[in-house]
Amino acid sequence: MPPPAPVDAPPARARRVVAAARWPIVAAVAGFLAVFYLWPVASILWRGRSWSTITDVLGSASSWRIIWFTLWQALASTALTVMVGLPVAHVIARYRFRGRALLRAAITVPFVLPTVVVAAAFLSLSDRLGLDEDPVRLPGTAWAILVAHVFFNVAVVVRTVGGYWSQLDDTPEAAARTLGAGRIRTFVHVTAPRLRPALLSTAAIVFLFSFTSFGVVLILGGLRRVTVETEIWRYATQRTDFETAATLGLVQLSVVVLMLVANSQLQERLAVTERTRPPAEVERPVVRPGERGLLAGAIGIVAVLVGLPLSVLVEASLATDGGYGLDFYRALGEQDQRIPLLPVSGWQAVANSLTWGLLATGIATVVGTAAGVMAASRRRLMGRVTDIAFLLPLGTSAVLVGFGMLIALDDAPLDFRTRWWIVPVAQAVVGVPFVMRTVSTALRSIDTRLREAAATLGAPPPVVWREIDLPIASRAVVVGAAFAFAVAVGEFGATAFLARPQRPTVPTAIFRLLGRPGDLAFGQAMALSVILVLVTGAAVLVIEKLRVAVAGEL
Amino acid sequence: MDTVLTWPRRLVACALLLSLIAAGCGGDDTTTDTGTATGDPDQPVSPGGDDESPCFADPGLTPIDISATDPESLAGTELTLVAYDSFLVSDGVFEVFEQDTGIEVSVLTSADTGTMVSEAILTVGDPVADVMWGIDNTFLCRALEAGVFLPYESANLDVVRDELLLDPHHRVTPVDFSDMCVNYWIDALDPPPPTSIADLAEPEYARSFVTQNPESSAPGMGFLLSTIATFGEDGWQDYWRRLAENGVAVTPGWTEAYYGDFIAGGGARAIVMSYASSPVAELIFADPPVDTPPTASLLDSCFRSIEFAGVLAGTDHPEAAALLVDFLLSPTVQEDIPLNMFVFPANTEAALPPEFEEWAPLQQDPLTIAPDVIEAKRDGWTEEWTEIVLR
Amino acid sequence: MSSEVGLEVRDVTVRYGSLTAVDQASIDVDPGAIVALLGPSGCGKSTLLRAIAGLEPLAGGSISWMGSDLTGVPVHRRHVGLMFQDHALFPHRNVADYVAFGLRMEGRPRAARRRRVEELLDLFGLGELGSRTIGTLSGGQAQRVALARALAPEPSLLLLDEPLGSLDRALRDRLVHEIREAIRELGITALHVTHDHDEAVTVADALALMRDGRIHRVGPVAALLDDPGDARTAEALGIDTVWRPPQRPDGTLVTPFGAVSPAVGGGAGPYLLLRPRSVQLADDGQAATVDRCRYRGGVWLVTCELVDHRLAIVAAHHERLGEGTAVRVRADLTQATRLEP
Repeated sequence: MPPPAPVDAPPARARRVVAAARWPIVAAVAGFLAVFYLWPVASILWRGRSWSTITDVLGSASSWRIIWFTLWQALASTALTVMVGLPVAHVIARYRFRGRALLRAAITVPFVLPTVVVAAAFLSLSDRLGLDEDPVRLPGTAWAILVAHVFFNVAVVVRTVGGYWSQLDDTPEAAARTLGAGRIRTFVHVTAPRLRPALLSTAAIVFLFSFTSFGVVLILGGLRRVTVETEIWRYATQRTDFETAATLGLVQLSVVVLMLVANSQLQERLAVTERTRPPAEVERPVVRPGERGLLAGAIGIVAVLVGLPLSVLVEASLATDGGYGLDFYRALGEQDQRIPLLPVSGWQAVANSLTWGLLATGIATVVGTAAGVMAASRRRLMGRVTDIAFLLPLGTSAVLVGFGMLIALDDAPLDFRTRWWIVPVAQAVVGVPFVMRTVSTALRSIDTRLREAAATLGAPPPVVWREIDLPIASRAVVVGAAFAFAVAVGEFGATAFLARPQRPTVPTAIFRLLGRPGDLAFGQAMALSVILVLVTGAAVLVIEKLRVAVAGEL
Repeated sequence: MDTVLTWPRRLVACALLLSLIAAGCGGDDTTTDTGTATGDPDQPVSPGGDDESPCFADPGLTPIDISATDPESLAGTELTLVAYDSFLVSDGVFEVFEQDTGIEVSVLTSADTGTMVSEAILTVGDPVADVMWGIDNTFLCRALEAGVFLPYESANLDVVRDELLLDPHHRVTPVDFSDMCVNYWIDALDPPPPTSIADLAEPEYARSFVTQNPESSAPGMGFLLSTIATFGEDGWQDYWRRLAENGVAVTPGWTEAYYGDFIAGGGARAIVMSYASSPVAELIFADPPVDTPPTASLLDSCFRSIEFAGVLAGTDHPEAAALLVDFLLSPTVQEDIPLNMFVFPANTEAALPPEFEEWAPLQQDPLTIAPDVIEAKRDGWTEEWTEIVLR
Repeated sequence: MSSEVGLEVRDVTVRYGSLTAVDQASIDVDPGAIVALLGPSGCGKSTLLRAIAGLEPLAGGSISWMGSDLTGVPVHRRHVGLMFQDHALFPHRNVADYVAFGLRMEGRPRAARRRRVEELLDLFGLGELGSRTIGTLSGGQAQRVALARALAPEPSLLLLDEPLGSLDRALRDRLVHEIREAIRELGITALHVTHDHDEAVTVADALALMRDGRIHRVGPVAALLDDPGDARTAEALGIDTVWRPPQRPDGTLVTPFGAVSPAVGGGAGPYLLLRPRSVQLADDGQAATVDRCRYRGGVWLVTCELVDHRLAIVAAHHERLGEGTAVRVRADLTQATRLEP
């Protein structure tokens, strides 16, 4: 029999070792956020501070109209997105069917498309469907904004809720069904309450995206629909009025903080410990007619919401003057030396996008996982502060962050503003909340007894984390990483930062092409958009394969 | 750091205050502004500007002088050029400069011109680059009043078109210009093409014209300024009311107009606000190739946009930056930019590509408004415009 | 410090906020002994177990093992095996991995791990299941895997927290036996928490009875069963044939079968424990009506209501009797034990 624990193992030292491993990580994570977000934003808000502007803005009825509209459209977009996304999440989480990975990748794709491309697809679609003629002109209405927000954000619901859902033990549902509850009642009374942690987490993110959505509102909303975000952009970049921009930024932050505090409070109240199981054990094949109908419905939603706009892009990329062909794709590879449309070939742009995207994903995954662990910490204050702090970037105007970096990161040792890596880091700041939230949700749902069991079997805390938390969280890490990648490739708000034109990414190449008149420019922009879709879809599929490998090894 | 931050802020505040006084109206006051900067509506404001305005007042800065500088001593300097996002020159252009001077140039791009200028004003005295390319005449005074640029009189100014030299103190140097004009798709118009911007408000062009929001688009601002220059400060509002009744479409940016509503991208409208050079691009980037452009410009609608380069105040390498400004005016750059950015070179000795010679005739008498007037009134105008178009 | 004592729990107190879950509990467990910690749910027995494992911080008292203080030793260094109520099986592992977990934590070489895992799987009849995932196991299999996992690293002290709580009676009976055999065979000291007195009595050598956070009685199984000493203990042990008959001032208890003076049975408490085996259905007894019957250990326990005394009494009988059947009951009071409250 092995000897019992020696008396001379001073517990204080053991604890100190654990603490020594923890605090540098906490400090690094906090430092990352402080340097690349908090300090820049504080700087720009401080620069634009003006009491009289604050009273002017808050005293004006039109400001309140704008704030109200921003809030309203964000809440409505969130509700719609959740409603549309849930059935798809259900099907992907609970059923085993051919093409499921493809469906999951397909729904992620819109996330990376540049708004201008999506808007073009939407406009073209509404044109073809006759939706842009009076009196049903869709573009320029609040509906257009809502539909586009659902299009962009439904992936968040499907992937985060779906990921959580797929590893929930299904016994309670089975119990409810045997007790006579129908499919819908089971969902309402059993599943929905169990999904609440993931739903709340997702809703917060969708809300933030809709609340600070820029291109969609600007392009599809028409002149009448302005939001706090578009106004910040207008005042900061077009009017050089930093006072008004900062005031609006303050308003934006206040709303975001309020919403996040409420969300976090709700999350805490509704936190439940769930028994998790490997998804493979919970999945079922699609057999009964009801299930077939469900599957068909989910595929239908994805087909209409994602397939239709994408097919418009594909069509436009193939439509040459002499019928359909691959001319534009070929043209991407061979930029005319005398009159180039792009500084590099389209394929080089794809390579650049992948490189930058993976870099940003790497940063976001490391920081986000650490932040997720902190957010799920049993030190509740630290958990909540971490959670809210890292979600703030999603709710902050990209223009203010970009401008803030220009004035805050200009002196040694923080002279970062023109470094090449500042763009991937800025994208990572936006990607971190995805990793953090998916990870912390998964960690919170882990039954503590699993950790205790491991500890009684001789695993010290770091090993418990490696053996219990990490494998269970790894699925979440991958889901979050896929988002971080999509965020980075889609270059959210990156236009607010200084770029190096010698290494254009796909979105910047698309912007450049769409800034040019001529068939070739438009055709190549469409072709490049399609390539972006395919590359992203492929990358997401690869990341998911990685997940299987990781999970299999453990 | 404090001192660096303080003086520009005070300058910005002064500039804003002065522009408000000059505009004669507060933020929310959108009643018709009867400013007196342009007397006769038919007579465009002199492009020379007004020496009394804060914009062109003597900044009291010592110009950069490179006459005594040994060019050899600048070799090895690394310069950064900041430009708007559509900036593009051919591969190897800056290598020519590096071979000549030993100075290395890297390019950073911001977003649109407005964003780039705002960023420059935000970082005045502590710039992200040494030289800026591409500030235009509509944003010029904002930057000049904020003290963004250092004066430098390039040795190459003698080859620059006179009418482009707006700043008497040479804080900025004109590098290119272009005309923002109404374009139309030749085959798509059933009635004969419009001959003036007044025609666009006529019933036969109902729901045919798409332009851009002046607050988010350069050509959109160009068209608004065209109408102000054409109809006068008291007349443009009425024109726009008729235009709105005639079903004008307004998009946030050029791309949405050109590839969304305009025929080029599959839209239904045959007339779009774009550039005088757009027909050339339509010719060059046609697929399959065509002999004549499918579009043409409405010449009396053209508003002249002039783009400048300038040495950013606070640079560590003013002399090298000055050499770069000289280089930007040299034929190497000037002959490269037309086909890359579809603009005209400021250098009169730069050879134009044949497509430009044939299909982009230079406007002899384009519409224009002095930069200081634009700066003083732009916010009032756009607010008034928004009221009219939204109603 | 006595080397006789393996586990020594002294005045241990555990608090959750203002709630005192364990209140100055003390218990000693000899090396190699199996002690059952028995008590109703919510009495704090699981909490005490978790405190011994190191999962709950102590608000007071001390815990030592073989003479060395465990109080500040972190969980993973205590080398204490813990088997959880709902097994707490890691969902992402297969059975063999799972059993090997503790061995891996010890850093045992792969080959040694494999040998030990095979050994344990065989011991529990799980030989074929090594590559199965946890979710595919039946309740009994999962329980055996959980036990194998806890035993794999050869802990010197095994704590079992209601390990059979969720299983059916037949499976429980079998597993209780298996657990006892395994623990015996390995010579492990074990503390077995349960609320089931039958389970406790079957598995353990000694019992510790817990109530409201305190341990109120400790003793060898046989002795406690023979003389619980007080009514609460009797109840905890599942002995429900306890009366509270009228009492005379001199302490004599008056029953329909005669009086029980304080001297009888040693005790002087107001309760009377009358085991079913000393109560018979006989023609010469008191008139009674059958209230209910239950089957236990090969005989029928018949609960009857004495007609004139509004008193229930349990008799052992060889067959089932219908409810309401009129019977006559005789009791041998010399076998009765008086109990303290």
